[in-house]
Amino acid sequence: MTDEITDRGTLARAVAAAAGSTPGVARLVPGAGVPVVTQVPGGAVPGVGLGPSAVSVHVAVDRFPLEPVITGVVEAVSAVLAGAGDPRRVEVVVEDVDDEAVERAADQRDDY
Amino acid sequence: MANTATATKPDTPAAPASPPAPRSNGSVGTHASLTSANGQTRIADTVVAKVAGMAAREIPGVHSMGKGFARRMGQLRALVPGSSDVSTATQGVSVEVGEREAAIDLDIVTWYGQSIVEVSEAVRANVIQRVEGMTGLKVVEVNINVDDIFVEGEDEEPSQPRVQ
Repeated sequence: MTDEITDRGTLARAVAAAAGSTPGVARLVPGAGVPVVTQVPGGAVPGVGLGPSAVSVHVAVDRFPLEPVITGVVEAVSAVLAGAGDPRRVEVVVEDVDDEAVERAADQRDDY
Repeated sequence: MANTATATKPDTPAAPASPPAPRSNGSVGTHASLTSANGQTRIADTVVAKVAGMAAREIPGVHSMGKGFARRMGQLRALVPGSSDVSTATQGVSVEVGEREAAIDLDIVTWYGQSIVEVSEAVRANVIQRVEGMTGLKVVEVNINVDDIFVEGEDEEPSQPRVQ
């Protein structure tokens, strides 16, 4: 059996690393309203919320369409949770899309 | 499962049900046995309280610790020259320490605008980790009492009235 990540800070950082390195994810963001962060000693991991039944990941995306990016994040984070023996679901929230991505998508539509 | 655990222990070679029953919930081997054949280790309440207090303060969502009056007295005391910050480390912490286990109660003040659930989860996890790691005691419970919420700018003088 793999080493279980019992430390929530370690888990949050692992989730953040997996989600952040997924193609199409610009960055993790704490979002509007009450910031979604995981507090760790001496700091915080933004955009990762370790809920009781789900691990939520809040991202800013830099490309369209969004579905492959979201699927990629879910797969990457699920792999981390499975490796840690964590039964929680993965929840992806797209908090923002970069302006360039919106402009590019608009340009492409104009070409037709 | 219990049999395999006891069988691997070197000090109990042929006694699966030895009289001093090993702690069933001590699944991780980091919990040092505080009572050994060659002597006993006692850890004072203050030690556990200090470790717990420092661990709670490591979480950025904790503004300060302690109940209302004691907290303000602590702030005054900190201004007195020559007073060490040792007394403030245990402020807002009360502990019960047994031979192998510890129970911890914390009074904390958080910042406005944060998830209190997240802060208390982070505090609880860090306090358990630090106390178990540093003292070898099993932390059975960490009760967190969110005593107040700190609103930035609240302590400053009231702003100008909006109407004259």
